[in-house]
Amino acid sequence: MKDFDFYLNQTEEIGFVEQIRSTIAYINGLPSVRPQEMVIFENGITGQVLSISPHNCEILVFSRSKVAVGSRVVRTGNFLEIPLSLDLLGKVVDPLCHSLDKNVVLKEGSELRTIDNLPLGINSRRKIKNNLETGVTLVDLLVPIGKGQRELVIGDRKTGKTTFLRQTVVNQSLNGTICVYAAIGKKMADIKELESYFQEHQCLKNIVIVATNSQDPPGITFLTPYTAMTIAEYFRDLGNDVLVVLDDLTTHAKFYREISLLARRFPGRESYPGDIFYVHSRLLERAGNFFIKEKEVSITCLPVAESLEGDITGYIQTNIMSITDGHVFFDNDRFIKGQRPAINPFLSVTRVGSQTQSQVRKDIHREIMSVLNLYEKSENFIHFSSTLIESTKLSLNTGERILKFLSQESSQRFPTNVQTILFSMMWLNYWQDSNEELMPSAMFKIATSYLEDKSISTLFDELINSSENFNVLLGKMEQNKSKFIKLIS
Amino acid sequence: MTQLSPKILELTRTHEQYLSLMTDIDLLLSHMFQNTTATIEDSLVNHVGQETAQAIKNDLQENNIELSDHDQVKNYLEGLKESLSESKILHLILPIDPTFQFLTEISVQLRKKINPSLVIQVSRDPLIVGGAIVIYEGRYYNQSLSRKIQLNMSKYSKRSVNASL
Repeated sequence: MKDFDFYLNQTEEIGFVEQIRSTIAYINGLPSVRPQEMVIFENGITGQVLSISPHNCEILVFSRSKVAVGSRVVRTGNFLEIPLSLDLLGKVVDPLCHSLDKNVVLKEGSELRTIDNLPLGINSRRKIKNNLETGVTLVDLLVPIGKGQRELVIGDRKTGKTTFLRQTVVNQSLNGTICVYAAIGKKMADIKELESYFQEHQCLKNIVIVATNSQDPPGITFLTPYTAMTIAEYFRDLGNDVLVVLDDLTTHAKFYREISLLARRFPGRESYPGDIFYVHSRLLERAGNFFIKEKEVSITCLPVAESLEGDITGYIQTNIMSITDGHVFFDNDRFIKGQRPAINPFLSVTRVGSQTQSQVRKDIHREIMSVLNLYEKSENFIHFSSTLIESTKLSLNTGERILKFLSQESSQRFPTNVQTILFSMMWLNYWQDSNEELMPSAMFKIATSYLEDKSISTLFDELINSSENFNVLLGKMEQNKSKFIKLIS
Repeated sequence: MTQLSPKILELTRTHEQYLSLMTDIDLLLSHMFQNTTATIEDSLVNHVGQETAQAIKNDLQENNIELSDHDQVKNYLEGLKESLSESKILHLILPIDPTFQFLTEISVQLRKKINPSLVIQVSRDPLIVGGAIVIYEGRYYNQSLSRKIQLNMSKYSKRSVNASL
């Protein structure tokens, strides 16, 4: 960006700060300024035009530094643009694409893009067909996510939302997907920890972290998801599948509320401005499955919303639910019970995910849901301490085994074919009672062997690909029972 | 709003004069608020400058307002303040401190051509070397010598680069 004097001589327009209200400045002058245009103050601070009135214009200042009343302002003639290049990969940047690490200097961006773009139209969109592997068995089997889907991740604080997102990002980035993680108004320590987590898993090279911390001005924090989406669009246009995580949109809404109240916009429900739905829907509409340059590429978006005491009927939460194609609900009760991940499959929804599943996985989904449903009902009978009939005992036993199967540590990631085979093994009772204790560790061992041993991955893949449905797969597995028993032992 | 009389306009040629008159009006209004029984004449004598007092007195007489009529005087002062706040300000950046005569002449000319209630705000910047920079209604006109030199320098440096190629 050029300096103040350059724009002053170029545009030959000047304004003076009349009034300052927190991060909103009121400017007198600049007769041809347009809404959303970038302006620059004489001390180098930038801002964006929020609104224009006959007497003055309202500027959102992108800095916590003081802007003095009477200081000069010039317009730049440009909308807010960020420099984009492949150099962004593996970096932690702020919403203006400056590296947060002062020792890292980003190369000059090869392309400038405005951050508030219109979403692509219907002609450029395609049906969501491909599955997005999260590596989390419960999600991949029960709440599947498709590439290009917008799936809300919702739950109380400290229920494992970020852990799930990290697992997904690591799994996807190791599969070659470009991941953009927007950390909105997080603590600086959390941002550092996130970076080192990805570094430890050696996948940072495919990840861009767009972060703002709690000390940043609201104007900058508000831009975070827009920048993340613009970066995602840049990589999409280069022909990559992209996963965007927006962590989290309730914080984003709070910052937008702060800005709107400072700008004296009329407050609506819970003091949020009336256009909060528009702000979020316009943002999330930019994700999807697209057809660009004769190729299908996708932007999958996982926005996060924090609920309060398990209440998922909050204003922002329901807004985002209605914008997205489903939600994964992290249940605090399940978390307290020790279930990991603490996802409630009955309160989670996926609207387009099931169309990306094979028939085998659809069958497994149906079986698990019916068993878990029965298990939940039967569990209520235990409270009466009455003697249970055999069928109830059986459904309780199966339910417990399935829950054990679905439990997963945060460091573990299972490929989808491994999940299918492992479930089939459990369904066929290959895990004898004696082995059941060792089931979690053995499952992880099998997943590791699948990734490392070509013969095992070929066996699994061939079995699944050649089976039209779950029953056929079970039959084929029975024929190869010895091989699977060997794997367990 | 009150129509600004020539005498008042004469008192608001420069930004300093304009601010001083605004302060005087504020003083008069606050004095009237504090002492509802005292006459405005007393305030004009004791609280504001002689020129301002005379101009306001003349203006009140022309408008047939009795000095003892508190309400009317108050309305007049508030109207005057409102009219003055509508005045347009022209920033003039010069390399030297202008003389009072120069300012008066330029003010007369500019008021004729641009706006009869125009106020000039002058500031000094020796770095512009010569000429002037004018800022009016958000427009910035840089007619300084330093700018001309800068433009010529860049033009000649481009030419010399082309010639060497």
